Parts: sequence; C-alpha cells; structure tokens
Amino acid sequence: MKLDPTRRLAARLAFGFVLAALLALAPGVNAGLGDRINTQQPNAAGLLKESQPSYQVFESVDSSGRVTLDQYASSSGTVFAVAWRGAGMPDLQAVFGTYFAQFNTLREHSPAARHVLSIDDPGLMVDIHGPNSDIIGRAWVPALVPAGVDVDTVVQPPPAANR
Amino acid sequence: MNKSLCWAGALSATMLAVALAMAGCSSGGSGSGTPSATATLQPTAAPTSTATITSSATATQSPTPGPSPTSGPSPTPLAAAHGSILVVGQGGMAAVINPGSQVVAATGSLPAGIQNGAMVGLQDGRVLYTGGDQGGTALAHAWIWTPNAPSWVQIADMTTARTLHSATVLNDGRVLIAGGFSVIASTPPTAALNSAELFDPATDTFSAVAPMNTARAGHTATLLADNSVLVTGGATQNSTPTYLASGEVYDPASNSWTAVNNQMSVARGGHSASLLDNGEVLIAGTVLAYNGQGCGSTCAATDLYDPTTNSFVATGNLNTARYDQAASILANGQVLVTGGCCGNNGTPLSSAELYNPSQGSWSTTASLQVPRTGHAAVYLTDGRILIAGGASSASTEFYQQQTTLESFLSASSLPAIYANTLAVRLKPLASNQLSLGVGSNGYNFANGMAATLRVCAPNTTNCRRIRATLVDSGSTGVIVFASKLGGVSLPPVTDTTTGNTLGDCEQYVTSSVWGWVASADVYLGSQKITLPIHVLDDTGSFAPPPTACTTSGTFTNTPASFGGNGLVGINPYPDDSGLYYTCTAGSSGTCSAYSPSTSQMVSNPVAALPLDNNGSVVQVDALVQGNSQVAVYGMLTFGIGTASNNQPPSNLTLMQTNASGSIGVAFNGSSYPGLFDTGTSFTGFLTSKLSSLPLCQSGSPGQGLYCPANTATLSTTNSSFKSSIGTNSYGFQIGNASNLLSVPQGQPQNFALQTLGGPTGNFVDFGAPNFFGRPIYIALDNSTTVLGPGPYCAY
Repeated sequence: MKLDPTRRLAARLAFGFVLAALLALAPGVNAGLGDRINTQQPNAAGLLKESQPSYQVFESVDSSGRVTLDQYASSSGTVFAVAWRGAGMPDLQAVFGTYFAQFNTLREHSPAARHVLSIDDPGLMVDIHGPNSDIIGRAWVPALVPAGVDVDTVVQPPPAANR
Repeated sequence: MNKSLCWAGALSATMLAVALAMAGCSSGGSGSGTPSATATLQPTAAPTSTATITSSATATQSPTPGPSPTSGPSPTPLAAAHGSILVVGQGGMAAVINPGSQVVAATGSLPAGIQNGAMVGLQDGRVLYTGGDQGGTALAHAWIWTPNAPSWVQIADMTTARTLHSATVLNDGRVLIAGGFSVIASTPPTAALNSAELFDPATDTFSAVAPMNTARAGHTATLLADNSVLVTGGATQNSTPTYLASGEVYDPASNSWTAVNNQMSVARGGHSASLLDNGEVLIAGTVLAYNGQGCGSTCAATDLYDPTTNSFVATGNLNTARYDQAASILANGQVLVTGGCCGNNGTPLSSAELYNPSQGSWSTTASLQVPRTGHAAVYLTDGRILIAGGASSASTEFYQQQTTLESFLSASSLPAIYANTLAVRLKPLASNQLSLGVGSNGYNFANGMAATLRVCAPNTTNCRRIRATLVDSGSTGVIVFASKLGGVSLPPVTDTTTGNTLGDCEQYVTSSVWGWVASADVYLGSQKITLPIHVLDDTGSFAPPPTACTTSGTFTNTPASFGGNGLVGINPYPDDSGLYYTCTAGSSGTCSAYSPSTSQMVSNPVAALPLDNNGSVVQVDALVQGNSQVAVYGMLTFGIGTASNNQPPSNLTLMQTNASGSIGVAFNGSSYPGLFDTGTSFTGFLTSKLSSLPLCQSGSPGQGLYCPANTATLSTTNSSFKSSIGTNSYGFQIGNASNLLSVPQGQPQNFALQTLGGPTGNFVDFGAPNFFGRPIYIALDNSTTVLGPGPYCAY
C-alpha cells in the first residue's frame, strides 16, 4: 500500500497511540540485551510474536511510533538478541541495556559512516544499516544465545512500523 | 618616490619602469611550475568577492586599441567540464583549468594588452569582465564569456571608463561596479572615481547608481549577508597615491552609501577582504608595508568589520606584513592568506598564514611552492584552495589540509605567465544543476561528496553560501549548521499551540544531530525552493538535545565531526524522519515530544522544486589516475526527463525501490536490501564471512574495512526492491583499505578512492565510489517520470 505524506503521518500518529497503550501495559519492553523479561506474562513484555522451544520473540513499537523492536528471550527470559526496523533509531541505551557501553566502544572503532555499521566482535554482534527513513538493525550477544539456535538465521528484522 | 611599487606600478607607464627596477616585484621572470601527478582543482563560488588588486608590472604593453573580442585559437569543450575554473591573466590571456583531468587549455582571450579589469562569475553561469586599461587608456568596455561558447563577447559599455575598480555580485544577481581610475596618465595627477553602477544580467546593461562618499581605486568590495556591499581602503589618486583607512557600505535597497563609523587600523591598498562565517569581514594587508614605510608597526595590522555595529575592530596581526596577497576562506571558516609582496629585495613572498576567527589570531601554515604576488586563490568544491599565477609564475598549486599536514602541492601549469591573475569557478549554466566535488570536503573525509548551497531568509536577499554541503541520497532534507549562517536570520517553524520552536533530532545509523526547524529559501542551482530546513545548533543558542538524541549514536553537532557545513538529502522519501520536539526558548530551554504536521517537517528539497521535481541525477567523473586521486568532480542535476540535460539514455536499467530508495541485491544465492548511497564513503558489502573478504588488521589505517591482498572484482545481481524488474549484473571492486588510506609521513593524501570497501551486515551499500563514472538516476516516491512512476533507481 502506498501512503501519501498525510496518511503516512496519520499512520505514524496512530502507531504512537497504539504504542502508548502498549507501553502502559508493558514495563518489560524496557529490558535491554542481557536483561530478563517476564516471559510468563506475554503482554507485559510486548506482544508475543513467536514462541519456540528455546526462545520467544516479543514485539513492540518505540515511543516515537516509528520503530518496531523485536526482543529475543531465552527460556529463562534473558534477552539474547534484538532486531528492529523503522524510520529512525530506537533508544539504543534501552535496547543494548548493560551492553550499551561495550557497544559504544566497538562503534567508535568502526568506520564512521552515515548509513552502515557492522560490528563483528566475539562478545557482541551488531549490524545496522539503511537510509534514515528505513533503518534496519540487529544485535546479539553470542554468549547468551541458547544452544542449538542458529542466531544469524533466526534474528531477522521485523516489518517496519510505518509502512 | 612612491613606495607601493608592485601595486601602484600599474598607475602610470612612466612610473612603471622605475617601479620594476626598484622593486622587482613582478618582472615576468621564470615560470617555474612543477607539474605533478597530484593536482586537482575546482571551486565553489567564494562568498568573498574581493576586488583583486592587479599590479601590472610586466612590460607587455601591446596597444591594440580596438576592443574587438577575440576568440582563442582553440575553444574547447573542456570549458564545460565539471569543476572548471576560468583564469585570466594580465594582457587578456585566458585559460580553463579542469581540476579532474588536470588539463589546462587556453580559451578565448580578451583584447590583447588589457589589464586591471574586474571579473566575476554571474549567478547564471556566465562570466563578466569589465573595464581595465589597455595601451594607457582606461576602458568602459565589458565582455561576457560563456562556458558553452568560450569566447569573449563584447556587450554594452559601462557608464564610465574604469580600471582598478571593483565588481561584486549581489544576491539578486546584479553586479555592483564601483570606483577605479578613469585616467592612467599621472601628469597631471587625477583623482580616483567615486561613481558606481549596477550591471543587470537580464539586459546585460549598466546603469549609474549613487556614488560613493569617497573616491577610491584598488579598494576591496565584499558582499555582506544582507546584500549590501562593504568597500574598504584604496587609493585616492593616481600619482604618489595616498591610501584610505575608511570604509563605506552600499545598500542596494535604498541606493545609498553609508560610511563605516570608524577607520581601519591602517590605510590600505593591495589588501584583501574575506567574509567570515559569522557575517564579519576580515581585512588584511596594505601596500604601505613595502619596506615597512608608511605604516611602521601597523603594517601587519588586520581588522574585522562588524556589520551589526557598522565599525572596524582591530584583530590579530599578520606574522608577515604583506600586500597583493590572495585570500580565501576554507570550509572550516578559517581564512588562508598566501604570498604577496614583498620580501627582501622586493621579491614575492612564499609564506602563507591562517586566520582563526574563534581565536582572532594568525598562524603560519605551509609555504607556497612558488613565491607569488598578484595571484588568485579560489575555493574548490572538494574543500581545497586553488592558487594560480601571479607576477612571475605560470604555475598553479593547491592548498590541502589533512590531520597532520597542511601543504601546497604543485599542479598543472598555465599556458604562460598570468600576472595579476583573476580566477572564477565556472558554475553550471543550467538552472537545475549544482557542481559536485568529491574529496576531503575540507574535513579530512574520504569520498566526501559536496556542493555549495545558497540559503536565504524567505523572500529576502539576505543569504549565505554554504560551502562543503554534503550530498546524501540516504536521507532527506536540507541541513545547515547555525554557525555558517552569520548575518542571516531564518524564521523558526513553531508549535502552533505554544509558539515554541520545533526541535529536530536526525538519526543516522552511527550518529545523530540536533537543532531546530526553520523556514528558508534554498537555491538548488538557480531554482528557488522555500521549505522547512534543519538548522543544527553548534552555537549553543537552542535547548540542549534530549537524551534520545545523544544515545542513538555519536553526537556530531559540529561541522568537523559531521564532516561538512550542511547536508542536502535527496533520498526519495518525503521527509527527514526526524524525532520532533517542541522546545522552550534559549540555551536552557526544555523540549517535549511533538508530532509535527507535514508542512512543519524538514521536507524533500527535490520535491519542492518548481520544475525538475521528480528526482535527480548524480553524475561524477571517472577517476583518471587508477583507483585513487586527490578529488573528483561532477554534477547534481535535478529532474528526470524534464530538461535537455536530464534525459535518460535508452539503455538505462531501472529498478523500482521502496519509498526509501532501497533495491534488491542478490549474491551467492541470497537476497539483501541495497542502496545507492552518495553519503557513505565506501562500498558496504555484507560481512567478511559472506563476502570472503578479510577485514583490515586492528590498528591499521583501514581498521573496520576490508583489506584483501589483491583488489577483488565482485558482481551482484541487482533488481527492484520486491520484484525481478530491472534485474542486472552489477560489477564493482574492493581493494585494500589500509593501503588506500595510509599516507607516508608528511605526504599528501588522496581523498577520492574508487575501491574502498567494508562490511555492512545483511545489506549492500553502494557508497560514493559507485557513482564514479556512472550517472545514477534517483526518482522520488510517488513521482511521475518519462521512465514511469517513482520511486526507482536507474543506471
């Protein structure tokens, strides 16, 4: 579906509204990489998008209504991977949680580029790319990935919030 | 005897011989250009329109009285090449320098023997040369040179014969002509002119305007942000001249001149004047510096003109007193002053200095390869400065700044010695084009693609030219740093409920910027658009950035960390996708989230064009020196199939994109999104594992990029975003980034790098090198074009 700019805006506002409602219900979406979320109350962590024997995926939209965020949680509830897509960036401090400082250090050692970032580190894998209106990102902590999960294949960007 | 030998020698033929004998400033000696492989030159219009003082000292007086326009022996298509510069020397010789190929070609000459005229590049792309003197007679004649028919065509005369006058292009396109001498012979002594006139490019005619308060010749004339013109100093008459310390300002709106409230630190002739980013004018040098006579300890004094108080204020002293120097502003706002007259025995200077406006002081930088006086300096679109000609040199060189090195590098030679050199950058003749430079952008960036944009307060002639404006096909909207808009006040876009200014955070993948939204007139070529733009707060005058803006990447709210003074985003998407806020006023203001209406958002500049608004064509020349050269040049053309200069060829491959410009890319059986991205320095190609390309060693110059031992030739299958339409095989190369980026100590660096590559994850970013030698058509979302509806990408 094509949206003219006005309808795009309407869509954005609508998403913002839906999200505000979601956030009110779901304090768990603030869990970052390495944090635990309450997998027993799916709606508390965002909408349960997918459930597998060794992990679950919870989907939410950020406070600006622009970015869809998927959090991959192991059976113990630990967020081992994230993936997002949208017009703009999510709050990376919240998304990376306790790994935010490590992410920043690795980012500073990466080539400065406006539209691409690829971090291939044994402790933290990140790739973020795309034009400003359609940024796709994903990250995972290899040490936290449940056994048997092919994380590179499994962690895929969600549909854009706004398209 | 007169002290101002180099400069005042022009005033009188009889004085000339004596001047040469005594001063030896410009004896037409050896043109010792050292052509080298690392030469490229291209300018953007320097906003400082200094009246170049021409010191005619060579004795090439060939009085051919008739001002019949003469065509050069070989008018050349080079004149229309990207980034070319027109150079005119004493005697009327003219040449075009092509910075990309480093070819210099003679073009049509002015009438033989002409000198001391004034030359400016008009807004429409033509070049105007006015007056001067020939065979001892001042001229009222004027000529127009056009890049696509490179000969000088005489037009209607000025109202008055003038030589050593000034010519200044106003923001409305007219040209202010002021002062000069109408009589060369100094017996009896004759006063300078106080008269002024305006050239109208619509009719190619001149008409008298109000005269200056004070007659002057050899003065400077500088366009200020508010479209008025500051003139300073100059000589009062043509024999044993006395020089002026006064200034005055012409206001075209009221057709009146207003004296500056006070005097400069020293009387000045042979000086330079440069418009600074903050709207002030830096004035340096004086002819009285010759042998230190006449000015003593004040010879090296420099002054700032402050338009807000209409007064001069002394600033730091030059390290070396000089005159007939060439001055140019750099991308970072510093002013480079080179050479001039005179060292011991009256020889030209090779020293150069930089003025730092934030410190108010001068520092010595690298020295010219060739001592020069009466030469020209032009800002190039890739951020370097071209230095050309001068009293005794046929050579050219350019000034380049790197992190650890400031240097002048020899470039192609002119066809002959061009004393008293005049130079202008050739702008596109078409209304829908901007010149592009790809290089360091003055900020030490590899493959920085940039243009110069003119930004004005809406419906006014209050404008600034923003050099080093990045061109980015991966984002949408016009961005300008507040510090570059000195003297222009843009009305903020406000929250309709509270009247507060809208804040905007633009997020890139690895960085973010913060500022407010303002309404502006922006010129894309000569077409005006009025739209909300993003003004970045590097002056601390707006609310601090919200946390969400500083944690999503490196906060790059200075031109140096951003890599440019602004950005023009030509992505297909309709708006900047920014995070919007409504903010209370002042530097301690607070912001809360805001949902802007479409008309409040920083919007697509291409879509805002009156014509040519369905997309753009990015065309950059191929490198001519293998995989690496200093810089390369090109053209950004607006519209697809809307004008004669943007007709797509029949063999174009068209790939439909999503609204953000992404295509589909297949490699080794897997599919990924991809983007043709002018805003990224390298070809971003998947991961090391997927591409089989090794990463550079940690700590090497290419850290984080790819470093194959041998340059890899690669091929992807590109197609539409979600279909097989336009499926094509696309070839490119990735080389060793550490080799490309490593610079031997003290050596100059190349900034246009064809084979720079690095990892991007599950994405292919066809960055700036992919545009070299390959025109790429980018159609906007929801657009209509001759090739069908946008959005698409085609090559």
